[in-house]
This record gives sequence, C-alpha cells and structure tokens, in this order.
Amino acid sequence: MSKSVSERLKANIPEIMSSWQARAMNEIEGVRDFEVLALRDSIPEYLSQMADALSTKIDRTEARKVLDREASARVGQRHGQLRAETPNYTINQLIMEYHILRQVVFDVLEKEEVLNPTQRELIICSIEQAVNDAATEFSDRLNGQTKELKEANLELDAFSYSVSHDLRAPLRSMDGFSDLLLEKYSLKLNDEAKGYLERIRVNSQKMAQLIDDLLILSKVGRTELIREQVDISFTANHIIKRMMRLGPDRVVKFEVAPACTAMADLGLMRILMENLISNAWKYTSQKPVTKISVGCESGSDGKVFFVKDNGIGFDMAYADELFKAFHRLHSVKEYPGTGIGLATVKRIVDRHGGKVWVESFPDQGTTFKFTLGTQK
Amino acid sequence: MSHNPVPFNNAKGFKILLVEDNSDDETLTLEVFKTYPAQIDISVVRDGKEALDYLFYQGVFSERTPKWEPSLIIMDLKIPKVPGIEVIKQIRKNPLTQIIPIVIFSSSLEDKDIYEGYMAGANSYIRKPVDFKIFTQAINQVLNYWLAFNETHSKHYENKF
Repeated sequence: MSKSVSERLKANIPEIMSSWQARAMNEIEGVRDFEVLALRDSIPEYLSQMADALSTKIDRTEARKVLDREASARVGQRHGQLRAETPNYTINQLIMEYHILRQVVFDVLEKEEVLNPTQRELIICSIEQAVNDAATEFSDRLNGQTKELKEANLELDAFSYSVSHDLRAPLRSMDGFSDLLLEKYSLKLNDEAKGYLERIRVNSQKMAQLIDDLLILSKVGRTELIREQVDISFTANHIIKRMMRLGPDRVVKFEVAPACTAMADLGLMRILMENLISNAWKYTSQKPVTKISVGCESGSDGKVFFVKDNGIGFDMAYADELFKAFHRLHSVKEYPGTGIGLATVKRIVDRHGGKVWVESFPDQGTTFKFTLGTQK
Repeated sequence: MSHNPVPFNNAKGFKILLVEDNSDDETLTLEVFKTYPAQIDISVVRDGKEALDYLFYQGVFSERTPKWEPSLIIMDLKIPKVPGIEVIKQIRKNPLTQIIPIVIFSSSLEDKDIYEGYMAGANSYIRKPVDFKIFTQAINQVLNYWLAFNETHSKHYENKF
C-alpha cells in the first residue's frame, strides 16, 4: 500500500522548501534576497502541521482541530509580524508567497499520486487560513507603526513649537540688551567694548537664523503633502523680484521660461524655489552681472526643472556633500548662510518622490536640477 | 533713533495694556515705548488671568481707578494661567472691550498660532524679531498705525444702539 498523504507531505518538506524558494525568487518582483521571504523560517513547521491535519492516523477530535487551528494561526501571525518589520515589504508579496507555496505543495504531492478532493480541500483551506492570519497580523502591525509614527510626529510638533518660542526668547534678550548698551551707554564704552557687543549681536542673529532654518527643515518633513497645479515660473518671478528690491544696486539678468507648471505642494515649492534662487543670488554676488535663469525641460523621468546661475560654482567632487545639513563649501565669511537650505531642498524633492542634482564647475556657474515624481 | 512725523491729535494721550510674562521682553518693549514721541500710559500684566481681571475690573483689579479702557492691547500668546487665545476670545465677547485693537506679539511662526489668533479676533499678528533694531521698528510702526493713524468712533455713538 502506498504511503499516506500526510507521510508523503512530511517526507517532501525539503523538496517543497527548495522548489518554493526557487519559484518565489523568480516570480515575485523585487525579491532578490532569500532573506526577504516571509515563509522561509516557518514553512517546515507549518507543513508538518498541515501533514498532521491530513493524517488519518491522528484522531481528529474537535479539541484536536481547535489545537491545530491555533497552532496554524500562530504560524500565520508570526509571518505577518516578521514581515511587518521588513522594510518595503508589501501585502501582495506576502500573498504571492503563499500562493506559490500552495502550487508547490500540489505539484510535489501530485507528482507521485493524485490528491482526492477532500485532501485538496484541506490543503487549500489550511493555506487560505494561514494567508488570512498572516495578512491580518501584517496590517495590524503596520497600523500600529503608523500610529506610533503619528504620535512621534505630534511630539516633534510640540518640540519644534517650543524650540521656535523658547530658544528665540533668550536670543532676543542678548541682542536687545547689547543694543541698548550700545545706544544708551555709547559714551561710556570704548571701541573695543562696542566691538564685543556687536559680536554678541551678530551671533544672536545668526543663531536665530539657524533656528528658523531648522524649523523650516523640520516643517518640510512633517506637513502633509498636497499636490495641486503649481506655476513654478510665477513663483520664481515673485521671488526674484523681491530679491531685486533688496539688492537694487546689483545688475541682474533674470530669465524665467513661461508656463513651467508642476503637480506639487504649493507651500513646499515656494520654500524650494526660495532656497534655490536665494542660493543663486548669493553665489553670484561677486559677479559684475548676475545671470539667473529658471526653466523646465522634458527628461526621461518626466519634467526636469532647473535654476541656473553664473556664480562662483564649485568642484563637482564635493557635489554629494552639498545636500547634507550644515555642510558648506564656502566660508561663512565669504558667503553667509546656515548650510540648511539645500538639505531642505533635498527633503522637499524627496517628499515629492523626485530627484535633485547639481551641475557645476569652479567659476563657471551652477545649475540645480530637480524632478518632482508622478509628472507627466 | 528718528521717527517720521505722525499726526497726533489725541490730547488725552494713549493707554496701552501690555500682556507679557517674559520680563526681558517687557523691559525691551518698555525701552522702545520710552523713545516714542508721544505720551503713553502703559500697564503691564504678566498672565492671562491678570489681563482679564485688569480689563474687567475683577480680582486684584476690582478697585482699579480711574476706569479706563486701553486704546491698544499688545499681547504674547504663550502666557501663564489663561492662554492668550482664550484671553482674546473673552475680550471680544465683552461689550466693554470688544473693539479694542489687539496686536499679538509672539515668538511663534506656526500657522496654528497665527490662524487661531485671527480667528479669536486679533487685529494683527507680529512675530517678535530677534534683531532689536527691527524689534524697535516693529513696535514703532504698530504704535503709529494703531494710535495715530487708525480712527475709532466715540463711546457715545456706540451707546445709541
């Protein structure tokens, strides 16, 4: 007499494992590493439970069925739990893994002998149940993580709020009382004392700027992104006109290509363009004629926007460092700034699912380019 | 420090209520008031409850004389006891104080604070500048606008309704 289905299943666990592994690696998109597969660690345990369920030797009392059910639910939940902790893992991937497992179990078992409808039914039900348990656990875990993230964000909001309020107040005092000393006791102070007080003032203001820039950077990360039609050309014109009013003695040639529009977050786009244009404005300050142009062109990844200047430029060897917070390529004395602006630009582009990069050469000007994701 | 000539025609002088819990900010603000080219009476209260007691002649201010309503309220939002937003709402609810201009002077640049400030009935929202020169300019312009240029109707007219 041939072996029972249960025995055959148990005997074939290694083959099912390797065949499932090969197919999953091959058929599920994005699975490159065997590590990623949820079922790897628990398939042997799970299949042996299934074998027990298929066994006619084990007395299938109601109590026994409940125990089997609980054991199998635990395995499913463990998959879900493990996968929720794997970055970028999706519920579709989890379902595919089980789907392939079912096919492999059938293929391997039926190679030797066709299963009867009851056996097929039992295997299908068992796997469906395991998928359900795994999927439920997976999504519960994800919801939990989302909730934790939301709470962490609320805490960050409260933190930023108190930073903006409480860190600025002492700076205002430092600047204010230094200035009062300079104004009211001007006759009693010698030039050295006045110089020291000026330094206190300059540094209080510098730190206030730093706090403001950091606040914007943190705001960019935590505000909800709402895409709408944004006229980048209009925004750019608006910003550059304001800058030209602040520096009326500079000779400026400014060009904005008309009708560069994007589906993007208006508030974030304003911050992004403000940063790129003020950057261009700053690093062209030593040029007799400032040339800044803003425009867009089509690229393989959708629309590419650019801000181009004829400023001092930089060595492309440092290009990667440029988008890191606090990283600067020029001394603060030469070109004032906090080193947060381009980190903010990068974060805004990241949040849109786009890319930002830079093309530059010392003394030949700089061009910042960016895409904004989901552009047609 | 020089100021543009401003048309002062209010012989009674100006009365300002300053709601500020930070004593440094209070000193700095008062220093600017001192240099303003018009007589200003200033009362300072240091939390939300004091502000309401002062305006509504309650608590420690129940005997406050002479009875006068400020021509301008300058207040911080983040103040102890009664929050700034609540203070503004109470001021707007009371017929005695409902039209007094309120200028918020706050460190915060959060949309939430600005929006809630206006919704509660503030007339203006100014973020306290760190640079004292700009701080001075801001206060001078607020005083010029609300005390010199801005017109208000007389109490008698209001009483007809």
